Amino acid sequence: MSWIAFWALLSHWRYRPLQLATLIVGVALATALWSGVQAINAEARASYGRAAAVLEQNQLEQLVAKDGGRILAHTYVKLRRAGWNVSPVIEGDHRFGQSRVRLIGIDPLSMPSEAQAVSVSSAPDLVDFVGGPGQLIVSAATAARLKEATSIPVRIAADLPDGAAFIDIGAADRLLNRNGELSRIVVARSQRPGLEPIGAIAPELALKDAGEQPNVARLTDSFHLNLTAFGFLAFVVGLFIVYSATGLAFEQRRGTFRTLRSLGVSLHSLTAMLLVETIFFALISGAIGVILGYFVASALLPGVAATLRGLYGASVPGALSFRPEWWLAGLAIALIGTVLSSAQHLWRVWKMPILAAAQHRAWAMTSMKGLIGQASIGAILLLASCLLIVVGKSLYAGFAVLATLLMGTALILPPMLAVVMAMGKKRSNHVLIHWFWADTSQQLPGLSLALMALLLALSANIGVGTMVSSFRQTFLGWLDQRLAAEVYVTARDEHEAERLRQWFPDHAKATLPIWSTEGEVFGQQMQIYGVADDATYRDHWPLILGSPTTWDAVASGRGALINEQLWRAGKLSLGGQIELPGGWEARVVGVFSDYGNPSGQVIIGLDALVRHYPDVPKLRYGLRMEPDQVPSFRRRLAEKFGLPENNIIDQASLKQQSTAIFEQTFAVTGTLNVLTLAVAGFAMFSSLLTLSSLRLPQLAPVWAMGLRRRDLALVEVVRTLALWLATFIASVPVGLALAWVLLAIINVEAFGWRLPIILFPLDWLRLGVVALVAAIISVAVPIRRLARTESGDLLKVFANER
Amino acid sequence: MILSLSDIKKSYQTAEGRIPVLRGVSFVLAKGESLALTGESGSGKSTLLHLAGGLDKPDSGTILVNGRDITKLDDVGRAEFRRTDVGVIFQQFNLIPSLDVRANVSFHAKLARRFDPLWEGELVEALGIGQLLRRYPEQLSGGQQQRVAIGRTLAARPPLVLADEPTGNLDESTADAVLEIMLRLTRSAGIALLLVTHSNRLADRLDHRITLTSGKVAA
Amino acid sequence: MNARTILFTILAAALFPPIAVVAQGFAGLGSKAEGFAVPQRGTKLEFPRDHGPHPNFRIEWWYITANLQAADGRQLGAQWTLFRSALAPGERQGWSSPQVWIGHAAVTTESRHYVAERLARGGIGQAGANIEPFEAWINDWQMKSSGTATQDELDNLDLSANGPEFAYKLTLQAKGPLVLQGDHGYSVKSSAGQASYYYSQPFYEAAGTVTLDGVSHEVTGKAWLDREWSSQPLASDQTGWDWFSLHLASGEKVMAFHLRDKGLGYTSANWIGADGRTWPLRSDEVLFEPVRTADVGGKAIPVEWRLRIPKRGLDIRTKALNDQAWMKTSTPYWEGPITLEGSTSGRGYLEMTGY
Repeated sequence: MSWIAFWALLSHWRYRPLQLATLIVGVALATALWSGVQAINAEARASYGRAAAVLEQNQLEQLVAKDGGRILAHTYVKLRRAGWNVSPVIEGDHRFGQSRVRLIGIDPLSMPSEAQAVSVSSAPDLVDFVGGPGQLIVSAATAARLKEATSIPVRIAADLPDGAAFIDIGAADRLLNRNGELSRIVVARSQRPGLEPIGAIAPELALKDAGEQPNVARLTDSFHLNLTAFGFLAFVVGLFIVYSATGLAFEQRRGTFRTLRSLGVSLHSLTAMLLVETIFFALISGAIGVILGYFVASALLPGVAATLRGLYGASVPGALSFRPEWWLAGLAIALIGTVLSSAQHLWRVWKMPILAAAQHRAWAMTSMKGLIGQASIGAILLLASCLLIVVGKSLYAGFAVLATLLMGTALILPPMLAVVMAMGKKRSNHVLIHWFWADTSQQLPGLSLALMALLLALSANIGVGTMVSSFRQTFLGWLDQRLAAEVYVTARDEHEAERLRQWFPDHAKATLPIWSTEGEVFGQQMQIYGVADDATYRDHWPLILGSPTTWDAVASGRGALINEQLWRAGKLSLGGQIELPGGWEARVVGVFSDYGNPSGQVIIGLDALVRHYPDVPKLRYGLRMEPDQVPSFRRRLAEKFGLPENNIIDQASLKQQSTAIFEQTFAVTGTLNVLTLAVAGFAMFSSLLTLSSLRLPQLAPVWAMGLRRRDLALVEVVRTLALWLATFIASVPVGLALAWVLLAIINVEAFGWRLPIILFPLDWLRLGVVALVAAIISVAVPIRRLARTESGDLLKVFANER
Repeated sequence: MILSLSDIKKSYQTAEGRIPVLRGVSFVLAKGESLALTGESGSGKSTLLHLAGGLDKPDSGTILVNGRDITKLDDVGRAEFRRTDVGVIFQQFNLIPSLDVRANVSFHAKLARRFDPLWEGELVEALGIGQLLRRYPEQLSGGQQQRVAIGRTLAARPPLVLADEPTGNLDESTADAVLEIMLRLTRSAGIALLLVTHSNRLADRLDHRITLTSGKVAA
Repeated sequence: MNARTILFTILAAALFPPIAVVAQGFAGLGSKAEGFAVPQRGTKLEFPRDHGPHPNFRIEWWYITANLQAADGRQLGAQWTLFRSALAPGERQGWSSPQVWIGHAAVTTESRHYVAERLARGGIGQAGANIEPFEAWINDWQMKSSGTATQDELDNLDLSANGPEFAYKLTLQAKGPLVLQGDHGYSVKSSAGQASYYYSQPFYEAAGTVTLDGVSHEVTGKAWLDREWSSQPLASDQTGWDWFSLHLASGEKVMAFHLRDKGLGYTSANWIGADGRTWPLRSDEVLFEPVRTADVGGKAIPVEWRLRIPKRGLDIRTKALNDQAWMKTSTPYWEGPITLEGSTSGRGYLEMTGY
């Protein structure tokens, strides 16, 4: 490879700085969004892994009760006395004041060193932990929440997930009222050979393998898949930019290629030089992209963390740590993307005969033949999408539906526009309008990538927007039904609860105990609630499936309600039997919607709950009364029992809290949406800019025949806006289809609930305005350029000396 | 007089400073006549043609077309002038690539509101481009393109046709044929033709001839 | 958090209060020390009751050392210890028990020293001690009355323990009575008056199997049980001890210890007749003299001693079976079998702490 020849090739960019900038910004943006999303996912996954290792000791095998219940302390002692190196854990949620904390009660004396989660290295720490009043080891954030909520000393440890506390097993036993019964038993890696098998010692236990994916990671998979899909969408849009920029550069250098080859540069070395050039740009802009991506991720991560906490209870730190693997992954994706989008052009150079015409033969103005092929591929993709809707079952199938739908419609868009323009051309009588259609349809191949990018971005915006708005409306309506009680009271202990139960009937219309226990159903940890037989439930509780006798069956203790998530998981159907912890069964008599809950839930009659789980905490109550009585009720309650403010919540603030979680949830998606739209806008901008430099020869004859530059510029603006408008109109049905896939397929697979689709045309209008502004911005620079073109430049087109 | 130039001066700003291209050029052209403008490369032939076509403005001097001084026109007026009063034929890039031959031919005429299907039919026949009407410019040879360009200009029947090396890309026999058609048609339509060329052979076939040397009409 | 640190904390609290770090760390605990019972002179020990745990005292142990001989004549030592250490006085059932149990087991051969350690909390049955039938255990290690007791619950014991590369199962048969140390079981540990309750059973004949690295060896020999409990066994300036239990060829036994401090230290010893009669010795009647030190993990440990009790005509040198009998437990110390030469011969065990 000759350096001189290489410099000759590279010199092209010196004369086309804007083109160079387009290329670099395109790759950088694509890489930034992709690697930013990947960074967020990596951070979240690492944090789940950490949490699982810390909280669940999931790197070790565990013993759990086969019936999903608890394990007797004696069983642990039996294993120990048989020589097994095992360690007990008592675990559960505990309320300190108004803060719910996951208590993980461990026995530091028997916990195998490989499962030691919190590091307590000095002797006094240990005695503080085990002895005396005990100690809660928590994250700084949790410590702040627990301030003054408990008399137990709190110690802060780094690396602990929020909302969890390590505590001595004795203290956990006391706080959770477990009578010494264990949640699980951790099995150390090294065991003495020749031990009696666990199955023989404790047949009631089941062994859970080490390294099982943490629960929360499985739950949040869909969310991360969502993010990844968005990142990928943005990446593809970014590649469109790169494709058009490199394509133009290759076309413009055809002459240079021919000259170099006629001067003896071999095809091999020419291709090699171009490849080196491509890689060089990919790496530079990839590096910029990774750095940008870091900022994108840093900006988004707090929102993502809040979402994950709100939606899944997963704790992810709000700060990003810079991982070297992003650099590699980011550069790799930039490289792959750039090479992919240059491959076609490289191939053309490789195949180009040495004496091919040097003039740039309408790279962006090729015939419509390609469009027909494109339309066929698009149709096939759409067909595949429909097929997947019918056949597919999994979350991945759902995303495949999304991908084929989006790509299919994107591919079909330019051919459709071409058809529209051909029709317009045929029908137009005025010569200038005729020319307008003809000229526009000729621009189409050059703009089609940008238009496709735009369609993707707009459809994603409409689709996701519709989903979010549908969700919000459904969810708020559901909250209204579900939070029927006017006041919610939490007693501080069982004794106080007892006194409250006696006091309530004289001060409220109805008392609705909210008691629940936790247990395993179908191998999943879930809440089991008991409900009183009260008109409030019969009137308000939102049931998806049920019958007039549903509530009678629940009250009798024979029937159980399951939430939509559990129902859609497919293991239970109406009328079937459900096996509940403790080994009893109930009949499924209804299904209720339960938005925002990551896991299954069961509701049984209150009497049945107390009968089957006598030591269920009886602390929480919902109370019915006239709304205007709430303030005085609060006052009386506070006076009589001295209950802290936090233990009495009224309906309004509870609704507010619940809504806030969901607003957060979709804030991230919204941001990604905007970013994708921005990238698409840039794609449009760069395409128009690219075309504007090729436009002069096309416009010069028209100008010479008596059109002003201003008129020409106006036509260009109208053309661009028309294309945007057409794309926008096309994006509405595509966006709605997208929303339908999200609501009816993805949501069901990811979250277990299905939502009705609600249309919000005003939102589209708003998006349309945003798109219009973006369109005007994208066309502004090329138009200014055209309007300011000197006559001389136009004349040069015709000059003999060319 | 269709075209009357008097004391036209024009200079261009270049890297080496201001270079005068035209240093006081005057001549006239009457209706139905043809004038060959010759001279060496850089003598200012093309510049003069651009000025006469309202594509550019002189530094000083007046250009009367049909008695109207086009140097006094604003942008709108000049565009209007280009549309109705003049037709320009260039050596290349004459055609609108997005339109087929038929649309190209009628384009200018329709812009100038002088579209006449009969006249156009005659032209198409005379130019021998009847077989090409459905084709697009990029599918035509250089000679064919040039014939279409001539057709387009003449279809609009402007009083003045300016041609800048219209046959420069063509071989000798084609060039002769094209010029022959041009002359025949302009004469029959009473159009004045100003043709820039550096071919003496072509220039000799026109009614008049002036030669530019260093921005001035040679004696 | 790791178990070794915990053990260190708890043992150090109980055994070596002077260690600065512990003293600082246990400021809180120290104030509660008042809650613990303190040994009183003149308290009569009662059996089998006192074989069992005394949760109101801070620290207690069941401590067996055995000098064994394999069929091929090779000498071995075996140790089985159960410590009880209380974070607070008294016992509570369930996970909140303040009692912590620590097991140490070791086997010493001429070439190797095998050690294992176990920790457990009280209150749930993972570790503990029962009076009748007698049993002391932690996990699957146990020291258990074999049920053929003639006079005392401890007369016949089954003893077992294991570690990663070793295991043993021994039966112990007492050939003599229990021996009360000090003043009828009240053993003074410093001139300032710190004391513990202390009795022994030095007359065990031991037999059984020792498995080392998967190879079983039939063994026989002699064993010695020490039982001791207290709340504050050492004075604040004492740094460690050298403790001998000797089986003399004559069938007589000697218990002698020397508590080191910055001055002359504190010595206590007991001459035990073959019939179990005891003759406590005055401080100046026992002379300890380190003869040779060995480098044990960077520490100079006196592994050969000259021990003299002129009044009884005893002048012996003790020699460690294995110089490297270092207990690499949370609270490390030296504990290993020794042989005696000089005015008489015999075998025994030596424990050295605070080095």
